[in-house]
Amino acid sequence: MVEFLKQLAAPLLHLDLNAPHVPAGHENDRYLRVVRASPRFLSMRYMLVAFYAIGFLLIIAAEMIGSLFVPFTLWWLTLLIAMFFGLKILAMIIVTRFDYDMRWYIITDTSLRVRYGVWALREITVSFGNVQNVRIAQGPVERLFDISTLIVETAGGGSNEKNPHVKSHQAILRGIENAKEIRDMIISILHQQKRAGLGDPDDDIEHHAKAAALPIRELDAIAAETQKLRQLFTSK
Amino acid sequence: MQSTQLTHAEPVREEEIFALRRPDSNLLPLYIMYALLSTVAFPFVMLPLYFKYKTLRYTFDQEGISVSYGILWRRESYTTYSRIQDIHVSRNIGERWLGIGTVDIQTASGASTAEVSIVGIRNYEQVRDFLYGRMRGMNAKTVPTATTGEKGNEEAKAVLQAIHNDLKAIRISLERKSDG
Repeated sequence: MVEFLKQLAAPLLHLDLNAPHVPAGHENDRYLRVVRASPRFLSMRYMLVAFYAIGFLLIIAAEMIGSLFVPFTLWWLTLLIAMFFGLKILAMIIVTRFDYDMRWYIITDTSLRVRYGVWALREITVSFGNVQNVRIAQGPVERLFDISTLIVETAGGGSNEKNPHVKSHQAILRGIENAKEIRDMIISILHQQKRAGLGDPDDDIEHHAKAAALPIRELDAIAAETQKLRQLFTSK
Repeated sequence: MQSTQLTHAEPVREEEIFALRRPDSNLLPLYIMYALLSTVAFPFVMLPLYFKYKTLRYTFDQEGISVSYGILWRRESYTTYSRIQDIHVSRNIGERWLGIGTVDIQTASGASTAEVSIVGIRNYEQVRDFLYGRMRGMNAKTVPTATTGEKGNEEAKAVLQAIHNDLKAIRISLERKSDG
């Protein structure tokens, strides 16, 4: 059923049902991992659509009861509203299912790529060098389904005037099962990079050079001192 | 569980990116579509969009990208590749129909709207990969801590060995002196 709908909708809506590209040169990365939304995320979305449908049925029922008290009939209006919402709910169910199938989160050694969206396809690529913080959010409904949202943030902020639903300085991994594990993995990648979120690209190289040079220089001084001492003692 | 087959990106054809100057001609039908959606305001929406399409210029150079457009109010923004933080690719249904896409580039600024927006291009994936290879955090060589650490350790070990030898020699000579 879903496959049939996909075959039908893919050419019509120009849906890209393939997996997104792994960033070039990262095909064999150590941390390469593809994370998908949990099936429970789909259940949660279906439940929300069901709530919407129940709300709509209540409105229709109220409308029908109300029409008993007016002298003229409104059956055609009821039918129109019912048809409109019926189609809308059908579309919501299909889009929910497609959205689940078209959600991709790809982690490589250096970047995170998130792709989602049915009507408008969106893809964001964030390099770990720019990541400021990683956080997990879980609402009550998500807790009920034992899934959570992982939010990876880069520097900058502000609201998006063009599209308030899309926060641009964030990569959001919605509806994943093992958010903690993935967060820890991202944090361990961040630790390996040892780069401040907004540092210059070669910050880390200098940092490492200094870290390596510092104890060696002190040790060399001590070594020179002991060598002199030795000469002093052995020459006498 | 869902399938996880991956697709690999094509290699970036740099000449193609550097040669990119104008948006695809399919951007105009897209703008007409946008303007049609505004029904009665069509001429007022269409006019600025038409001029935007007409004057839109992209310049990719070795260090950065500049986007300019406008007739009465000219805008030109320049961003260096190494300041890019996030790359967004978005394709709404109209863009997908026309086979074009939008690449939005963000730097670490306060605004959440994209600093540079490359609209109406056909090779949006190529542009994305091109920028991805140059964005902040990609060019920087990640120094593997293990190798530097090991190299540093070897060096430190040798110096410590020398110090130990010296101290040992001093002790021996002191012992001899106290004996004699």
